Amino acid sequence: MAGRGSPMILSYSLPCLLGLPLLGVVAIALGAPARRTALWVSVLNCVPAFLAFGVVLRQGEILFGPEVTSIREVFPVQFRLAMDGLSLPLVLLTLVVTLSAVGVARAEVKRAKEYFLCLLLIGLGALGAFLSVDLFYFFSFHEVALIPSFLLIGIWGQGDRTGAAWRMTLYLMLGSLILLLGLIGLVWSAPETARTLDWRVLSETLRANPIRAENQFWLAGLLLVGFGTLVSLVPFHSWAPGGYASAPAPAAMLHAGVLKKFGLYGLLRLALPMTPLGWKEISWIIGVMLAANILYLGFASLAQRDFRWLLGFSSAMHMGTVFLGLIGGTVLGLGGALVLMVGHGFSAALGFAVAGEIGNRTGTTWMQDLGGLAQRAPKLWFYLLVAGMASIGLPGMANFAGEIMIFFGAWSAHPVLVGIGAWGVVLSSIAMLRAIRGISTGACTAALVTHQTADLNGVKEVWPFALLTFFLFAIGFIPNLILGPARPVLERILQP
Amino acid sequence: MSGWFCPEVLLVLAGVALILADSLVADGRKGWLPKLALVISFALLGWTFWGAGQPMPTSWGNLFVTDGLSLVFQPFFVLCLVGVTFMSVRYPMGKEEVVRAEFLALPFFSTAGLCLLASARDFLAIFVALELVAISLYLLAAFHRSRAASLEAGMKLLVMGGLSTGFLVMGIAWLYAATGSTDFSKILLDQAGRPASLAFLLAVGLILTGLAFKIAAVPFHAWAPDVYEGAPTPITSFLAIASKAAGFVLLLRVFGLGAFALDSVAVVFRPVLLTLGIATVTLGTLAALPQRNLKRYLAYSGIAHAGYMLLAFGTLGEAGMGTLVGYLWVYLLSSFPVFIFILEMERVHGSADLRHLDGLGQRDPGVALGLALCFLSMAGLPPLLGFSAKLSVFTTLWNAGEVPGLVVGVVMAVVGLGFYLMPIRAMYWEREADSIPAQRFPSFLVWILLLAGFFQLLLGLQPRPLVRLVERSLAPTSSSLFPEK
Amino acid sequence: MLAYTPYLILLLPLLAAVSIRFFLHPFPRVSVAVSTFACLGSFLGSLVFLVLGSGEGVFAVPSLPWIEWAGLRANFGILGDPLARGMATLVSGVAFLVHLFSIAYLEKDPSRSRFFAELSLFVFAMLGIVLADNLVSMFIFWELVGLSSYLLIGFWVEKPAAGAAANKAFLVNRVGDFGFILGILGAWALLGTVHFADFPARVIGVVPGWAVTAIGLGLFCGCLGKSAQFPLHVWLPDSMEGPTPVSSLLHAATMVVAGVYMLIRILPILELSQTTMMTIAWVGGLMTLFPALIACQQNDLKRILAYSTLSEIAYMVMAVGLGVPGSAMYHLTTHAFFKCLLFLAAGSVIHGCHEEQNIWKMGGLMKRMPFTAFVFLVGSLALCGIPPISGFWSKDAIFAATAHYPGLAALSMVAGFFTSFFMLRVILVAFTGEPKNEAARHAHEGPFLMIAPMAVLALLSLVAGLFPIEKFLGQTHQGGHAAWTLWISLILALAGFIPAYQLYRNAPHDPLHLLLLQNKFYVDEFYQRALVRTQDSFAKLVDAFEGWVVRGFLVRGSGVVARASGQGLRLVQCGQVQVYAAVFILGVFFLIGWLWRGGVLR
Repeated sequence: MAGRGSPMILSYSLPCLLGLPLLGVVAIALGAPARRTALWVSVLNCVPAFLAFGVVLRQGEILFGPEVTSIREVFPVQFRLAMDGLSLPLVLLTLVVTLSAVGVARAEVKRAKEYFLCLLLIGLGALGAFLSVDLFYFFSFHEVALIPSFLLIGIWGQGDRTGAAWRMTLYLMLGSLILLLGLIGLVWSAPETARTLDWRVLSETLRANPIRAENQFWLAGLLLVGFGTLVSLVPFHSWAPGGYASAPAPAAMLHAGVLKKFGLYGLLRLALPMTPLGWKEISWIIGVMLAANILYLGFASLAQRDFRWLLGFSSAMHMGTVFLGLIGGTVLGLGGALVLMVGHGFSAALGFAVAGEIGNRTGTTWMQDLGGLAQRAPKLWFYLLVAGMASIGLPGMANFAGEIMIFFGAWSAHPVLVGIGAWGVVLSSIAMLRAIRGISTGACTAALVTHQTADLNGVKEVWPFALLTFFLFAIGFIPNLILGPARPVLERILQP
Repeated sequence: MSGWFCPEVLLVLAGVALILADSLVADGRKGWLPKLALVISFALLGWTFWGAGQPMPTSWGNLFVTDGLSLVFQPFFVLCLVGVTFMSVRYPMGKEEVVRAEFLALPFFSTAGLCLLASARDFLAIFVALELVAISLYLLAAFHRSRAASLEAGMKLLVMGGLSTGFLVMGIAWLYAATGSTDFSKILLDQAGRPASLAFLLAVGLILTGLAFKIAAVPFHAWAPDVYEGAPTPITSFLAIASKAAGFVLLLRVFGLGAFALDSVAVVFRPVLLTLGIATVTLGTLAALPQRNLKRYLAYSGIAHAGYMLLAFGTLGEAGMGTLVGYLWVYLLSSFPVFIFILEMERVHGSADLRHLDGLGQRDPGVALGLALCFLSMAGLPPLLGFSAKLSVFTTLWNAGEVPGLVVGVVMAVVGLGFYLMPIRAMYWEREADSIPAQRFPSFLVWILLLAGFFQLLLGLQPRPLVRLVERSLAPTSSSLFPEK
Repeated sequence: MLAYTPYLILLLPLLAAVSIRFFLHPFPRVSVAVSTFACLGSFLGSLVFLVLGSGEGVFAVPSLPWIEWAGLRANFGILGDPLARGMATLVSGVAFLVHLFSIAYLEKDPSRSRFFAELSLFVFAMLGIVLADNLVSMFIFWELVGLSSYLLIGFWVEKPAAGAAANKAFLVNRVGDFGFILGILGAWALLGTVHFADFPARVIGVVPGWAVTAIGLGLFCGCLGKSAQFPLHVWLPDSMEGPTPVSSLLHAATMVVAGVYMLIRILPILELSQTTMMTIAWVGGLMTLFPALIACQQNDLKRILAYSTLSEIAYMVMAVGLGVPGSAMYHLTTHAFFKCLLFLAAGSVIHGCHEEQNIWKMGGLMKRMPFTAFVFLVGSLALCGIPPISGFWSKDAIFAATAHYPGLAALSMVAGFFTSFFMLRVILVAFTGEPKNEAARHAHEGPFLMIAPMAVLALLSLVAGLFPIEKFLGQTHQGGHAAWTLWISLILALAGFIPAYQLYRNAPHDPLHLLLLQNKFYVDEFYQRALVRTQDSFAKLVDAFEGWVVRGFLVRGSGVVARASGQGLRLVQCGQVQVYAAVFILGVFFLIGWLWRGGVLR
């Protein structure tokens, strides 16, 4: 059934969202030109997306995918899709980042077939996870992205790619299994009769008859550790920086930009509404962890000498601020967290894209080897500035809107943590400004001088960057694009 | 009367027929024997699936029962038989290229034994059936006489099997001493409601060791890797899947439904089984990490799987048994294709060394894809079939509140992913294709593996058929076994 | 719709900046024209704005939505009160003059379209600060101003020093903003609003306490950063690495006084706590003297002026602290005129002497650049507060306010003494005597586009004092005149000339060598050693911990353990069937032992 008022046909836009990438995967596997196919699929996927957005925005309601024959009686798995104000921005993020990741990826990469196949699969997994209503698919779709990233890092990565790939994959597997236990616990703590894998029904059920407080504590803990590992919350973070540093740029874009947000999305969807008491109880632990995220990783990022590592650390560090919004206990904080999630998605993707381009052109991302970007490659320098300024929370871009909302939202509950968060802004600016200065000023890198096209070469190379930049500014200037539809959902989360 | 057409009888008859045919036909014109065996096995498969459908409370003087469990596992074993026969046809038996009829016939006898095990309701019957299985396996394991490894495997299997059988028999004797019967329902009635005597518990323990040997549970597992590696690959698959499954079916019969389904037993043996499970999972997973030979590798992965099944079953609840049944089918579907691949790999490369996988992803994408899906399914990666199995194991443990089992299970699942990724890494990361001599696999292999991989995905997304099987296997049993209650 | 027209003042420069960045940058002339006319447009606009809403009335402008949800109302609005209107006119006017000057100053620079884009961005941001109607959007533009300052200081990307200075400026400001944002949050929590217009009503009945003081001081941190007051003053002198028009517009006339403007906006909150006010006053008082001393021993023309800027801003801060914002705004305005003038003059000198900035390599410019020399003189007199030039009136208003605080009075007046001293030093060394090198000998006046703005500013500096500017700014002239402050300050200011004349008339080189002053009281060195080094070494420590302990030991270690245990377990698999049997038996014994226990337990 589609949402009230919206015509039936629109409800098929959601399966289309998943079907098109799948089609692309099959086509590429059967030997279609890899990059062009991937590109077209990602572009075409915007059509069903915007249809769905239209419904959700126009009526401010949930758009359901078409009904699938339920097999509730034996094993209550049920392939159901839905999009509401909370999943909308994340779907948007996924589409845009996937598109630009494919755009940044070079057609002449070795074994292009598998390469673009993996990229599409990661995007598909993220989309599915954000759209699924059934916990089984919610979980499974996220895991779909696991192996492709393993291959991407392993085959096309740089630096300590082997170690990074193993570490990342196994670490994430551990996180997901802990998360799986949490999900099992959630499902089974519902009363016998109302046991379901549909998180919408489940959350209403658990609202009606809440879980016992001490169980809530443990469940919330499991969910925190599980999702937290996926979000690289200290101390479960150590897969992230190295993984991103050694991943090829598009993979890093997708992973840091999109997949990471799955953990936060899950916390918003499941942990907060289903285990409110437990969440409150562990919020001080989260406070400690996120402080560590901000300060520990912030200082670690100061010492990085490779730009990719720096980006990895800083993108892991900013997750701390998002968590601050999640424990703020106010709708304002949650809204800020959502905006920052999306903004960080775009800015991190942009950062890794720029780093990738620099690497392509100079063959290195070590900052002391780099220099003179501003002279030789003004366009690239501009996008470097945008990415850097966005990630240090400069107004006008989405990250700032998110951070400021989080600060306001969490101030009454955790003023000290807000102070730490604000100081984190200073720390990340120190690191990022140093990096920008090292890369863009001073003596020119030899490779930049010799390279015939040191700068981004025309529209066909610029558009992915421009796309990400556009969304950074659009959301920064009009946060209501996201906040408007998300508001009812977020408010519902905090209602007892 | 249809008792005479039950699969067991037909299997034995088929085996005899094959041997007779072999002895009657002149040596020159035996090429059609293997095909005949294949046809027969397929026919039997069809029969077990659609023909022999009706449960019978008891038959042959209360020795056997045809209930849901046996009806679900007869096809299982016959399916294994089909696979083994198929592989035996292609197995490179060194110099004498033509396959010996015994090599084809013995699996039939062994399968007959397995089917009997699946429907035994008396320890004497169990013993007889077990020996029928075991003896034919001793022979089969050592069948490749020109290979020392094969002989050694047969010897080891014989020695260790004998040892375990000894304990099993001793257990049965103690049991008779303690209860005065070997019939499940009599024992049950005798023991119901009274505290278990030490003798009785001892008997249960000794019988358990016998079964633990069959499922290669730690510490009764040591034989498995060597035997698996040495035995001819078809037989390895038979050992790894069919006879392991038989052991679990017996566990199910004895502890779950039959003689020992007593609180007094459960109190003592629940922790024992869980401990065995934990030990088995841990050792199977960790010891698999350094393996470089695919057969040993699968031996250990089989041990790990056995551990998970033990963990689930160890909770001794309805859920645990269902999980066990489902898991066995998953295990069959995900590992048999790999054995078939190993056979072909031995044909092409001469050994089952992991490094022959290097660059397979480019040499033979279809094969690589199917294989990868099977391995990932074994690793329990959603949405593949193996995930559903692991999921139900975890759910069972969660609801039983078995925290240690849960923790070990999760950690070892992670390590497990580590070692299931090794072949995938070999296939996709390692040396690029051009640096490897391109040997082609027969084209049917691609289709088998792709089909298998497709099944992993399809059943993973829609496990309904398996759930049906599970329900069928457990639903009618209790009523049919205990008419009194 | 018509009600939104005031936003044009704001948006014209933004449009200019964006269009130049994305479309026009290949055409420098067009870019320059666009940027300049945009600035002119917003000047005229704000002039109209000023006139239309003349008097006390607040010009009501509907606000553009930004974030309005769950108790936080932070939209973009224009606060049309006289203060904003006057300030906007001032900023855009001065900015326009500097645009004109820059056209000539940078006409040879290949990447000048980037310069003008960034300049327009600055104008946009600065006007944003001025017109913002709430703290959040002020903070937004505050940051944007920081960005444009960063970009403009580092405009010469090939100059490493420029990059360093730019980073320093941005970071120091960030540190200040750390306090600022916390102050904003506190104010929001305290008053439940971030809108300036609501403050006066909301502060009624707020009980003063440490919290209120903390909030006030937090907000003051923002001023410390942006207006470069101690201890965050270190970035301003370095920022002179940027092109001179930038120093003139951002780092003298407008941007650096944003802090003072902000203080006046939030005065109701500050006034809640006497402690806060006094702190502000004393920081200001000290900062009047401290840079004035340093300036006496600097040799870089622009840096000398920069230090004088520090000290002048300190006067305004002190005035705010003393509760006379009117005088602060008054001095802000006059200072904008004469300091901008001084910098433009310095720019024309540097331009004339081929990028020479060291005053000891100039000399005798009086003859070669008479006009520049004249306007520089005017500016200096204004700066020193010599009647009847504007500086005198505005400074006198501030001195008057110090009447009841002898300490502050002493500090600021002594500062006045030194101001006269170093300004005369500059004039004598740079403009009189003999040229000390070739560049100075061939110095020449700039083209008309450089002369004209200076002329206008010189005129303004001369006459600005005669108009009651604070009236325009909607402030009333608080604090009556105290004759003694007038006379003493004047006498001290004049007295400052005497030693300078004695020491520096025809002096070939500097007769004084005061290391402490030459090294700016070693503040930079202190920061470098105490803060930056410790921070970096700590960062290295953390990184090492992350790399060795967390990633290496814990994560990789667990992998190693798993693999090693696997190897260990292989030892059992020796292939000896006897061993297997032994293991088997052991297993049986273990089982039986367990059963025994189980059996006995029952």
